[in-house]
Amino acid sequence: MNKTTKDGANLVIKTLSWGWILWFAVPYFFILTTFFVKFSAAASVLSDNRFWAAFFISVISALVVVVLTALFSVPVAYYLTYHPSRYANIIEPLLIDIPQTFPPVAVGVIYLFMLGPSSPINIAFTFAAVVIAKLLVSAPFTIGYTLRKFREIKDSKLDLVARSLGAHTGDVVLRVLTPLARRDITAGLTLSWARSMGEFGGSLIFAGVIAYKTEILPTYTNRVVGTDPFLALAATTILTIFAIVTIIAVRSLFKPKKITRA
Amino acid sequence: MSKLTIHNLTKSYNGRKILDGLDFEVKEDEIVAIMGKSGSGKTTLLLSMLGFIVPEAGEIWLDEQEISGWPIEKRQIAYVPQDYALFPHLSVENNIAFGLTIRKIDVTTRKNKVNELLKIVELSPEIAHRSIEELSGGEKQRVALARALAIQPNLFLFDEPLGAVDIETKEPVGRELRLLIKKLRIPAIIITHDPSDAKNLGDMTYYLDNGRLSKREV
Repeated sequence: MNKTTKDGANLVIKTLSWGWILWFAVPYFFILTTFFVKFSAAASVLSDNRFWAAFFISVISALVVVVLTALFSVPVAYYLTYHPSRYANIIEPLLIDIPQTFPPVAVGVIYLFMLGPSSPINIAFTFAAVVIAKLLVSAPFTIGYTLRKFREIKDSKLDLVARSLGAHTGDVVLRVLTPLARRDITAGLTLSWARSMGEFGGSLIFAGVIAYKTEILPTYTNRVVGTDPFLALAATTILTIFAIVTIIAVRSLFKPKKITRA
Repeated sequence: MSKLTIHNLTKSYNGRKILDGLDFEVKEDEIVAIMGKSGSGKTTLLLSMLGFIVPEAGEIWLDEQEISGWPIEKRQIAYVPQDYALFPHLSVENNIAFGLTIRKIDVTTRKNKVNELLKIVELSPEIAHRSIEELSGGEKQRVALARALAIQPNLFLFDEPLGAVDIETKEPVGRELRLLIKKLRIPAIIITHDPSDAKNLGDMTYYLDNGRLSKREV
């Protein structure tokens, strides 16, 4: 911005922007500060076995979600890139936008009817139910990022050149698309991981809150917030730290890069 | 030495004939420029020869073989797009050796072949370990040529080869490219919208209009 321009509009823009930034930053500072001030009360969470169980179930289920997403995102993004369908404007939102904006509670209710006690395959209230509920809302980030990058690579004709040099589909995927989309896939997986750690509504309804089995950090927090707010404070702080650290770390390590052109 | 013959090549989109029974021939060591306005079907023709678009009718002969049903990776046609499309994640050496790596050629043979190709395109062997970002425009063009040559192509397809070159250097870069192609004795097709590029690079120029090709004196 030019330093000599000092008109009213700039001042308004600056004030609005900083007001917005602070409004978004304050909750994180607040939760971290409160945690340290109330540390002795909140630290009791460390001796709560149920908390640790919820912590590990959260982490392991999120890892399973990330592995499944990583396995599927490249082939699915390849298929959508190279097999344009006339139904693309239905299929793509179904895989990307709708799950990201769909009410998580509704996800839980749908799965409860589809894969719950009234269906032939009843997996409600199990670890698998936690994973399935998390997968639906988390995977779209990775699919979306990978798909966008694959399309960018296709526009640059790098895939076409690779094919003219003798590359088959497997070579194009492994030697061109995936290495070039590495940063985008990683960024997508990070968001999928973070979303998965925070998922609540779907798990609550479809997997329930069974101690040592399906209780995850968000449902743990929801359970204790009424009876022991300091336990909720501790669990929330841990969720916050996890989310901030993973996203900032991966964002600074893997900056998505545009394809350089000659 | 190879030769390209195209007979009755036809392709339409939404009922409109983009290529309307094209016939033409490119002899060995001949450079043919194909000109046309945007939307005239230049890209459709290029992608049909390359094997990325399936024409409705017609034959494409490369030497004694009819290749119109062949997949793109089997045709051994060297495709060089406007901005050269070098792989940004690979070094110069690995770019040039891409087609050899795909064919599972061993490392030593690959390295020797890369050195040999660098010599052919008149680049110094030290360039092999550089990254693509460190190359000048002219060097990129030569690396793209070397990469295409590695698969011993039967035909060169250039899409706007001077499209990304500065106006001041267009003439010398074009002249060098033409000399190199001539030296290699591989038939070449240059797709361009620029009459001066067609004149500088090609032995003859065809003009694509309404799905038909006509010969133009340049």
